[in-house]
Amino acid sequence: MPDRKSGPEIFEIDSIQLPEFGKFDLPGGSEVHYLQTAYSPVVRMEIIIDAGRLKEDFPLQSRATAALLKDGSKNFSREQISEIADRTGGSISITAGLEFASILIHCLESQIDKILEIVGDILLYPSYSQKHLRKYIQRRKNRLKEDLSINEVLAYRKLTEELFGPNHPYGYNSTANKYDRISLSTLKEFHQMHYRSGNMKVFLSCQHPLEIGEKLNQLWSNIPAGYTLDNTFETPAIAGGKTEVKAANYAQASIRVGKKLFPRNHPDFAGMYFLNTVLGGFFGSRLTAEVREKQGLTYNVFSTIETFKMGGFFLAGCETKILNVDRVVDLLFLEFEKMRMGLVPDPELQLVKNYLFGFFTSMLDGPVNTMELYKLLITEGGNLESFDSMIEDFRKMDGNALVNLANKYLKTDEMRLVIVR
Amino acid sequence: MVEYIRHQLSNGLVVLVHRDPLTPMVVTNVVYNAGSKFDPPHMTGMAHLLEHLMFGGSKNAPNFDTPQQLAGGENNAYTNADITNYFQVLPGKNLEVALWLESDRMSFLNLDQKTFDIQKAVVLEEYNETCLNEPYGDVWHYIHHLAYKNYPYKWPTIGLTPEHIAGIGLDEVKRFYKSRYRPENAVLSIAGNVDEDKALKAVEKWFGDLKSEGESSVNLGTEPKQMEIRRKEILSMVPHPAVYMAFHIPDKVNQRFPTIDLLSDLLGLGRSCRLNEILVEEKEIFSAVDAYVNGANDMGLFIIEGKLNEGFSSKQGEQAIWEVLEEVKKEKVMPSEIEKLQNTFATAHAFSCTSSLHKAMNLAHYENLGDANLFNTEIEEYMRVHEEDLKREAKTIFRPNNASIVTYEPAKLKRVNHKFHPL
Repeated sequence: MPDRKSGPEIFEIDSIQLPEFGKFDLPGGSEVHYLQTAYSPVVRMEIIIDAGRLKEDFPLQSRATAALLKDGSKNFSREQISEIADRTGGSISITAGLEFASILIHCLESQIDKILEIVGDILLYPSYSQKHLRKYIQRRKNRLKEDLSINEVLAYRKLTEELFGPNHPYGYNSTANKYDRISLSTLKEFHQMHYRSGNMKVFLSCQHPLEIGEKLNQLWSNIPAGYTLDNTFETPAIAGGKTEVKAANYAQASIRVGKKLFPRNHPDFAGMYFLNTVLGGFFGSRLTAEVREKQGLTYNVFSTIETFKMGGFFLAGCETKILNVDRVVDLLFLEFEKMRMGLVPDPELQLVKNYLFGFFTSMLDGPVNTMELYKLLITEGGNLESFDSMIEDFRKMDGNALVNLANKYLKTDEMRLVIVR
Repeated sequence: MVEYIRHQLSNGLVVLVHRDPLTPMVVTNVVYNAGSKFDPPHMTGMAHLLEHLMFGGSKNAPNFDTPQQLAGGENNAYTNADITNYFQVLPGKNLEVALWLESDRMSFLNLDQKTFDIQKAVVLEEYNETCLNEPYGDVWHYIHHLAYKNYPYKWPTIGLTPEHIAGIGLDEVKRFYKSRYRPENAVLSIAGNVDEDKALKAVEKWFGDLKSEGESSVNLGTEPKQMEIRRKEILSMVPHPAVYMAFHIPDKVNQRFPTIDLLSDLLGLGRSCRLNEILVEEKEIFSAVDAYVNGANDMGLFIIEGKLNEGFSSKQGEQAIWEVLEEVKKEKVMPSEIEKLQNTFATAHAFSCTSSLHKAMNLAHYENLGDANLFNTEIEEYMRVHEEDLKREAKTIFRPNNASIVTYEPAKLKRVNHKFHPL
């Protein structure tokens, strides 16, 4: 009979070993980071292009430039691109976030030549036609209309706009007008200017990375060399305060509260990551325990920190019944205050440490996940050493350090609160 | 090929172990035949509410999450019409922590009034968030209600109405737990960095003494054959007109299933699929379209859905979809299209073998359907699908008297707080 009462011994994680990654350069300054996998027929390759909002001259320019890549190129029509890519059984997904555009490829290694033929052509010679721009604008405006009927979208948009300002790359929101003002010539200019080898990094996991590397080498010999610098932006100072927004729907109100933080390379990053985990970053966090598990006021309450090249922010949020809004806001602020006023007890510290070590170890489950972790590290300006040092910082984290951070970053009178109801 | 060993404990629990030395983690996945089709018809949402209660602690592990998180683990669960599924991901050396927690809540769950009341409130907020707070969030209520007249797929997993959830009693939940959460009604899979023999020994240690209650067969009834087209037209605060079409299809282990699954890919998967190419790109009637099978174990649904572009009504959208379906019935499916569908399936299968979590989940689910090895062998069935098979299934499935159609049109009213009305 097992000893059910005390349960099995729990073994601590003494180290997190990232596997060995390789690296080689492509013509013009692109780096390829790779992870060689054993016995797997699959390829995951992502091309990260440093051509996001920080490089824009006009709103939505980076997003539209990336999105239209798949709508036709010199040697392939839109139909052919879709057909050939789909016929390989793989996928080419193109997205553009705040800071980077990304071309993410999933396929079998046996199909990589066909995929690269398409990717090379759309990367080098996209056709940018008026017809496809019109269709893109229509699609995006439809999607926007749908998004604007969701309270939590309204809350997030308002908060980030207030934190960074309506013209800042991290703060501006898409609108139907902004979509209507996108012009073909600005997309062509953006592509020509920023889709350059020195702005690109490749993350590859597969069984034969060096063979694929040779193919990339050929492709890259045609990509214009060089890199471009980010624009600089002012971020206005913003005082704490509250904004009410009219709801699109009355089933639930949406609450978002936030404060501007620092860029990702800031020395307080690891500490705030840890603090946020304690506060609202996982299911065992204080916010979930209090607002959901103890009081049953919501299905979802969370906090997070978002960090970018040029700034960042802390965000907490919850959806709840309209009549519970004030109660939930009080609880959120109370939990911020508790972080400032009292030491996190040792057992809770230990639990969060173990959880985080397990969380980062679980990101090493399989080559696809592992490469995703490594990509985050590199694109955020880090390396294997910075990962090790972050883990070490977590290991050393103590209650006093967390109180100091909370007093620096979690003052309730400095928080912006947005309520959509 | 995912290799595994299979073992059945004397209490009926089926155990599958797959060793993957390349990952530092281990995953445990427990699937119970305890989906919402077993809900009492007047207290729908019970199976899902019980899923929440499964995290409320058990006799010997009064707090489920704390030991799990101390062991560096993550866990989650979901419920659908057929099953409730629980998984834990944690470092390989802490496998026994997961087995202790899973075994204890399999037989000794704490079901106290306080946790019950709180989780009921949480689930009611989940209902608000997922069904009422998002445009089209109530569509599954309408589709299930239209498509099923008798079979207990006729309510959505979260529950038919908030009143149903609010009306669930603790005693009824205890009865549900006792009847469905038993070793012989579950499959446990383990995938990751573990030694097979040691893992089996540990399973025997923690689960071996759990009592079997004997088979608990439930007669769920049958669904009468649909004889007429069914419709629900909804006027509500949605941003665009939309069309949802649901067609009955056979159960998941039926030999027709691979063909039907590929038929849904022909219509809805990838940018070059039929619906997108014709209705979004060429005719510009829709801004987005999709087609998929809902994956129900028994008698599932083939769903086609789309949001209309400005200037088009849901009626025009529906008509345009029927035209595409008629083409599939009549015209030739090109060999290149078949090649595309089969390559896509093979690629997705290969990717699903790259993480322990996917492998553990798939092995447990296929075992629950009858044979874990189907995960390895079903690809052969997909590779055998022929052009004529797709046409034949299109003719069988895409008939008006097999269709349940839900349409949305935006209401002109302002500030309507809409609520699902079953009829």
